[in-house]
Amino acid sequence: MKKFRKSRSGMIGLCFLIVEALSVALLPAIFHMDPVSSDVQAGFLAAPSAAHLLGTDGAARDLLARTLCGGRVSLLVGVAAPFISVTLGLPLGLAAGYYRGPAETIIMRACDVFMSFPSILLSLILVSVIGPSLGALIGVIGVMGWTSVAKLVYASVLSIREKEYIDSAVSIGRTDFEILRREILPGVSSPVLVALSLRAGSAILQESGLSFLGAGIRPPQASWGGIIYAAQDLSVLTRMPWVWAPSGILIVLTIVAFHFVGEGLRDALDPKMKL
Amino acid sequence: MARYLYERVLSALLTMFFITAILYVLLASIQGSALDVMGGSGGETAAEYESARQALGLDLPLWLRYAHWLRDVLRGDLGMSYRYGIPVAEVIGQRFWPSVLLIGTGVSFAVLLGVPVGLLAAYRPRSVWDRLSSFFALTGFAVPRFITCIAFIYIFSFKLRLVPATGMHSSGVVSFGDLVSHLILPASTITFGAVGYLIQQTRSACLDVFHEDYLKTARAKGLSELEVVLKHGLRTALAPILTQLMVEMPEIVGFAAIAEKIFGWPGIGSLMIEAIRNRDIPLTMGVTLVIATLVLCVNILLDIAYGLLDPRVRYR
Amino acid sequence: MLHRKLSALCLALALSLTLTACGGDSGDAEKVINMAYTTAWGSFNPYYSASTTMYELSLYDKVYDKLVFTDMAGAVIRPRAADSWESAAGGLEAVFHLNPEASWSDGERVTARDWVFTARLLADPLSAFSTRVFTHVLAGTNPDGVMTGPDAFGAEALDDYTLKLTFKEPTDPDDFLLHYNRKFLVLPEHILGGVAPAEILQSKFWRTPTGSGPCIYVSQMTGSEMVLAPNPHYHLHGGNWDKLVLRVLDSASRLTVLMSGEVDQIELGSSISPDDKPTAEANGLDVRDGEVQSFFMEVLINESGIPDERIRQALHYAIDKDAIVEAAAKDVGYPAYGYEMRNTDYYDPSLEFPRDVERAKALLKEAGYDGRPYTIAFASKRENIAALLTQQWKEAGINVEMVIVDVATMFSGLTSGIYDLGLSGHSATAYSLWFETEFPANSTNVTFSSDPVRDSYVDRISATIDKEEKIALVKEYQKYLADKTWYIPLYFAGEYWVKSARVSNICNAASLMCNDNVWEWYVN
Repeated sequence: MKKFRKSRSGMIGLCFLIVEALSVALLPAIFHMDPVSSDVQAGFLAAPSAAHLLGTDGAARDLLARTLCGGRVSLLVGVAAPFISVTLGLPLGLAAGYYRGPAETIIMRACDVFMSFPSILLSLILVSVIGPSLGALIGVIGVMGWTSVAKLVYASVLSIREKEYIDSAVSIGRTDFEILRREILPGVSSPVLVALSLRAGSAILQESGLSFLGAGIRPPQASWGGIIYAAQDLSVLTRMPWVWAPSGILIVLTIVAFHFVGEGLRDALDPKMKL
Repeated sequence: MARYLYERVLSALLTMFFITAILYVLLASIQGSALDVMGGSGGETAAEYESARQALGLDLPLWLRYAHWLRDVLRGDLGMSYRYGIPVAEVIGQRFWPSVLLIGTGVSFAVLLGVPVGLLAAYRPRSVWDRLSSFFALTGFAVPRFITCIAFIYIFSFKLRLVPATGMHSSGVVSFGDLVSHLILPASTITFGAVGYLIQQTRSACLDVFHEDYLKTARAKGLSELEVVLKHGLRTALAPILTQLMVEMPEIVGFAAIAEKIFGWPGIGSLMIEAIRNRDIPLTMGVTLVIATLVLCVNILLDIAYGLLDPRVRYR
Repeated sequence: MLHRKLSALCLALALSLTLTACGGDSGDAEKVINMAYTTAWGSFNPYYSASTTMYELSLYDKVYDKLVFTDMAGAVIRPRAADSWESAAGGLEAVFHLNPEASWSDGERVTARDWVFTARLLADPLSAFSTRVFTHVLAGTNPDGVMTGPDAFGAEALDDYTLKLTFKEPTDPDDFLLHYNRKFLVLPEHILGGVAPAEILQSKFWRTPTGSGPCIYVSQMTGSEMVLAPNPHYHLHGGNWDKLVLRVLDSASRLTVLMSGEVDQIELGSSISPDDKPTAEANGLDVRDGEVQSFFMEVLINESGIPDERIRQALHYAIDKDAIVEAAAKDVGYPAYGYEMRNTDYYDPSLEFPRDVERAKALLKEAGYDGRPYTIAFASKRENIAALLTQQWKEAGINVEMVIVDVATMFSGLTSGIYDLGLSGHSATAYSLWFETEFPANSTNVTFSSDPVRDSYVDRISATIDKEEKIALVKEYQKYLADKTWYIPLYFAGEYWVKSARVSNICNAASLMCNDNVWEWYVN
């Protein structure tokens, strides 16, 4: 962890994320912000004012509240989805790398086929079937990401295996489970940690992509992707930047922050790590 | 080698079977059918609706519909599009090459741009180049895809009036220059999105190569800086770049689909999105099959090339 | 060195950019008109599907001919294939005098026999077409529109250029036209006459159709672009264009392409939203106020989901329509309380009422509403209206949850009962029963159970020829609908239209009714 502190960008990224997470979690509650109700008096797509610091959207809802609460959704997706990817990908990658044989063939082939398809299109289909809810979105994006985690773990396990002490451990008579736990898992944990933070950025991007295609979060919940969706309209894009700019900037900054954290982690744990 | 190939192809076919079966079930379970797509503007009677359903075969049980589809595919027939009423193969054929053109151009420029920049960044770490390339790469993949497209249209087409915003060609004009002017913007968005990872990959792959001692040795051998960078750098980077492209390709296709939709580029990605919207199951399945097959083929080819390049790496 | 390499690359890129800037302008003598469509069309067969979209009808309109040309939401009916028409036999017959110059794109003349052939094909029991369009109103058919016998059929050619339609009940020919004109497209007997009705769908004719409309099909990129040329044999004249190109473009690009001149006209009237008006005008576009306010927006209610009509009425009373109009249409709209437009004789001002939350609450209490939540499904572009509605309903104590879906899911979900409410928009016309054409009693898109009183109203209204009687009946019917509240009218909205600087004579209002007077379009 000390090494991580050395990475300036990593620390900046981490601080940013912490501040952001705290803001979106606490600020709306502290200031009693309401992202859902329409303030018709203020007008639709109204410019920023004292009452609405970021103006209102097309349904006269307060944009500051929506941006902050949208942050909750986007951050949740960004954090939860990679966890699902890891939950799926870690065991499968371990199995493929450790047991090899038919398990390896099946799992790696499955990886290939899964990865051979544009994830956004597959997500579109899945969300169309399940229906657009926060859980479905997290689930779908999470499931889409298992392949890269699995491949990463698989490669890691392979390289760890090459070290002799695995064979000697086997000859001593340790069980598979023990070997996995003691020798392999620690070696694998670094790449997995790094992958987690890098996948977070990808998850947030995918959420915005799905929102654009109309498969995003169900209203009246706000999400950054859903807010930016309005920017498709040329008028909103050119004359009303207060609608989409904050969310847009936040998306980019958040993804960049996750990326920096990931790089920082990688530099701290194993700079030579191939991702 | 031949056995390996045989194994790969066989397992690929097997998995394709499962995937298509699952996909078919998924598509058929989406709420609403091809007939409901524009409901309300027709007001057809119940009898008409029913006969339309039968004409499309939507009244048959799901497994039977899949079986028919599979049987037709094995015979080389991708079926008829629900929406357009013409063979799926024909629709795909028309829209396929624009995608190849778009993605090919976009990726080529990403490589042409990304590799040199990555090399430079590895050659002079922590220099301005390095910082610039990192920043550039970062924004490339951190910005939501559709924002990139809309921003490009706004800046280059709307504000600067440099190039047309949409379509593949101006009507009534058939010239290379016209095609290029329409191609530039969408291809750039693809380049913008793909170049990030390429720069990173090249950079990290070459960092070692350009390590001080290694360079000194090479210089001592009498090679110029340029030669060292190009020869060793490129050779080292080639494999990871190829792998990276291989891995990234489906994502690029996905991104291209969004770009095609926004730019009105008549490619296969936007065709897929439309097909899902229209609940056009044969068309969706057809496009899926084509895309998946292509990527699998490219994967197998690259695997072989990789194996030839580097005998150390083989999957058993 | 390396820097040289990089700069060489940049130079190359810059060079190609400049090359392309030069390559665009080829100074064509060919006059091309570009139209943008947000959705692609299906096949060229107008009778392929029962649910043809407005975009498809707009395409068929160019390749095939119709009896008349309708404009201004039905207030204007001009000759097209038919020069004139009149009612006969007390309203039971409609006689159309066809233009003798009308011709197919292969040069053959269009005769009344082609029209009869088309009608017969539609009514043929063996016909593979998915729809019969209008044949069920003709004599000699069963309620589904199938011919009961070849001789009693209500479509007849009195001579080469006179078509007579015999109805089951007295019908005003104008009503018939407003209702069915957009879907009654004539097919060539001399080409399709030999094809067995059961195999009509497989005919190669649909790939390169021969129509008698103002355009001929040239080529297409499926789902993306369609190229049409003028039909040299068309009987109406005035235009001067060489090519008409229909391009499918994302709705986000509409304004951009209009402003850059890549596109001359957007489908269905080149309309833009009130929010876009300042941007359009700032960029040199000529924006006009729409002459008709015919876009009708309503809340659909699934009767089995909300069976108590008091709750449905409560939903209606709780709505603040002025706020909705403000959000959706600004100053080119007005709240609706019935389905008839203000500028028709059928409009009934007595149906109007202000928002009454107290009344809504009282009705809810009376009905014993237990607070259970309802779901409203809608397409994402209507989110603003849905958000306002749910909030207004909340103020009256009704819980409604929102679901964004696409149009197909909404309609099928409403019919199957998954959703309780839906939001839908339509293009109204002056036809007295225009809304019925969207949701006829026996249609599959109906969200309420069949009702004999409603059916009787519809039958009586369509059978009445006398204007005064008809107006009275329609007003009575609207009152009945208001009581039942199977749907809640929200508003009528007009549009702002962009008038093309390059192409003259375009009738924007007619575009909305799926017909374009392309034969008169003139490139300046």
